[in-house]
Amino acid sequence: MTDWHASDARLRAWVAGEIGSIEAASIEQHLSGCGRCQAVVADVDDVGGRDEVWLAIRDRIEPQPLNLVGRILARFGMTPGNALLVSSVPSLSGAWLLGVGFSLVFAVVAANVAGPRGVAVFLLLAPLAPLIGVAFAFGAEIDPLYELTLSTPYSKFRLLLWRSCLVITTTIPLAMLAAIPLDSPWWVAAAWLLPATAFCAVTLAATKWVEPQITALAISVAWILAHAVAAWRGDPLAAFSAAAMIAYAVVGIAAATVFLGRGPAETFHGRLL
Amino acid sequence: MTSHEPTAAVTGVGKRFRRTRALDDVTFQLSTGVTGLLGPNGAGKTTLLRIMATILTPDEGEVSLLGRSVRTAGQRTEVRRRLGYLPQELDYPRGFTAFGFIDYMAILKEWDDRTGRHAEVRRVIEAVQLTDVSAKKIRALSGGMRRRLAVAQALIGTPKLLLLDEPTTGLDPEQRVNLRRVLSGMDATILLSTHQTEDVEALCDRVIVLDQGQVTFEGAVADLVATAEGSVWMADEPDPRALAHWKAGNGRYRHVGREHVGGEQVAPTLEDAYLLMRGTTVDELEVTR
Amino acid sequence: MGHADDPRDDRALVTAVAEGDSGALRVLYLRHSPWLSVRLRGRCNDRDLVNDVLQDTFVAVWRGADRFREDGSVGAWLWGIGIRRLISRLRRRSPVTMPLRDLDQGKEPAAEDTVLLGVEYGDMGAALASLSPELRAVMQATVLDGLTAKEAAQLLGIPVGTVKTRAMRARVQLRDSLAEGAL
Repeated sequence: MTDWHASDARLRAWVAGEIGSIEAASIEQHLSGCGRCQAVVADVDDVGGRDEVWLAIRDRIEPQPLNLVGRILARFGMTPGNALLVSSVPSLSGAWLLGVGFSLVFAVVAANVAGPRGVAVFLLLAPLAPLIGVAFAFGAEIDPLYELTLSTPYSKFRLLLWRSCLVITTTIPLAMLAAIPLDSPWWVAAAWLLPATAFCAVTLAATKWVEPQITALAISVAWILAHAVAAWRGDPLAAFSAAAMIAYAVVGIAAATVFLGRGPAETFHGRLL
Repeated sequence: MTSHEPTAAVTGVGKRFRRTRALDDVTFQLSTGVTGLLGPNGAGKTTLLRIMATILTPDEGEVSLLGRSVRTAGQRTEVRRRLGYLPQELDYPRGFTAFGFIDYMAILKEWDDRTGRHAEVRRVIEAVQLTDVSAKKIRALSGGMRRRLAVAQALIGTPKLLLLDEPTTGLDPEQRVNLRRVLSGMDATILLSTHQTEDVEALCDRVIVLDQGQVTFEGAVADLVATAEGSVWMADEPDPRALAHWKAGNGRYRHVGREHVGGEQVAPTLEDAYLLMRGTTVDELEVTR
Repeated sequence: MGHADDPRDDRALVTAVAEGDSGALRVLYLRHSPWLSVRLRGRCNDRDLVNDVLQDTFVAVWRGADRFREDGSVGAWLWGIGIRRLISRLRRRSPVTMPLRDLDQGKEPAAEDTVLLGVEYGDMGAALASLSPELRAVMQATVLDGLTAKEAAQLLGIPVGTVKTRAMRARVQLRDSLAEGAL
């Protein structure tokens, strides 16, 4: 830094654009490092709009940037506000994804080791993946803001439904991918989708009375027991018979009706709504 | 200014958690202004506030808020639109900035228009003096700042009913003054729980004392102080017959008790009255703090 | 909010910005946006566009404050960001109209100019002053503003090839006049 300063008059002339380029270059070079002359320019250059520009800057830096999931949702037409609510579900980045991933890896390993029997193992585990996701989409143990959220006017069912849809749409393609190395009959990839959907619908509907983790656990245990019994009887794929498929569809539709219908619910997750 | 029209009423409310009785036949009314909910830890303050925040349902009794009973979901939604609630403890989700968190809460409070919402978010952040750090991640904020951020979310939309569970935890004296300024500028019914008489003196017009799930006093702060009139005295030596005694700043012993045994009487403070009301010794009080 | 008298120096402010202090960004904005604005208007006389560029610049500072190197000058760093944001905005627009401030005046540099340049740039300043306006514009963009040939071409609205040939001619002339000065 030099002791030299541009005179106020020359700075004023520079601001007004009334000096030659050589002098301008000199002043510009000096200005980039001289607080005193910067302050003079700030006083001289009284163009309007400086505050507006600052407000625009603030508007761009302050809001929470949406995460990847939120940006995708916003791209598909969801308002940025709702995209923020839905995509901020902490479980998305949390433990359940590990759990889901683990169960799928386990299924694939089992399939490769045990041959055709692996298909049965995969079919046993795959429908539970989205179910686990739904169970942990919203809840006291998952969302640290759970109680605070309950005290707001926002519809918790809407929040739960959106977050559930989100986890279902993330887990199902994952499970589909996992089925590829199985080299299984064509129907296997689709066969588990119907029970998976039915289980999710039942869990969602049951949130009107109990916490979804409890429902999901009960369904998982029942499902695994049913498979064990079927295998013991020598028909490991009994849970995927035509009759069973129809039953899943009926249960799923009934549960969806309960969840979406019947006026405003009084309780949610076993608590006052 | 405090008006006497009740804006919230709690009538005969009881709540049990398995074997413990958290609240027992709690009845009081609130009106516009700041009311302190004073009581030791475990007195049931948090349970009461959660019930009033429409999070918990009482086992028995009635709660009426802002002229509405909260029996149906529709009524509760109406109340929630004008309710601000500060939980005793608030764990923030990971990854949020201060601004992002308040923005998130404002969306939950039905601020749908982005521009208006952001203006409101800035307003409440400014009210708790966090503007300069609003773009920081919450995990980079100090404990006191996090607490103020929690207070800020309760201020969104200038609620008519404000329930603050231990709002002064982690605040330094300067920030307490600011909290007082923010609260006094609101035309709202404010219930503020604390276990410190200093908070009640500094922030509240009225006070409700809650002890072991029961209301033991309800009225003006001055009236609570007056209950200890004639029960406080100073003496040169400690007298074990008093309910409580401790060495005061002047080297003499301050005694609180119903039975006046000696020394000269002095004017009571809120702390004296609270001790007397609870029938507790200083040692016990320190333990509960 | 009176942030203008903030005691922190520019580097401390940039460090604070890197830690997410938007108050520090505001102080930087108040200190530097006036001269940046005037200097940018000297390159493109469209006030709205320059305001957009200022916005882009400080948003970029917010996101990239952790990449600021300790040894550099904050003002020069800001200018580097600003002039590049200007070019990227100009690229999206057509056609580019505004040349350097007195390219068309073509007047001889005043004695004062030479003296001032001498202060900031030494002999190089005097040599620059002796160049023709077109060559000087190219040297100003490439040397003083620190742009690449491609960026300078976009700023001046001339082909890259022209920038390169003019820069070459300018260098030859500069070398000659500096050599004369040394005699």
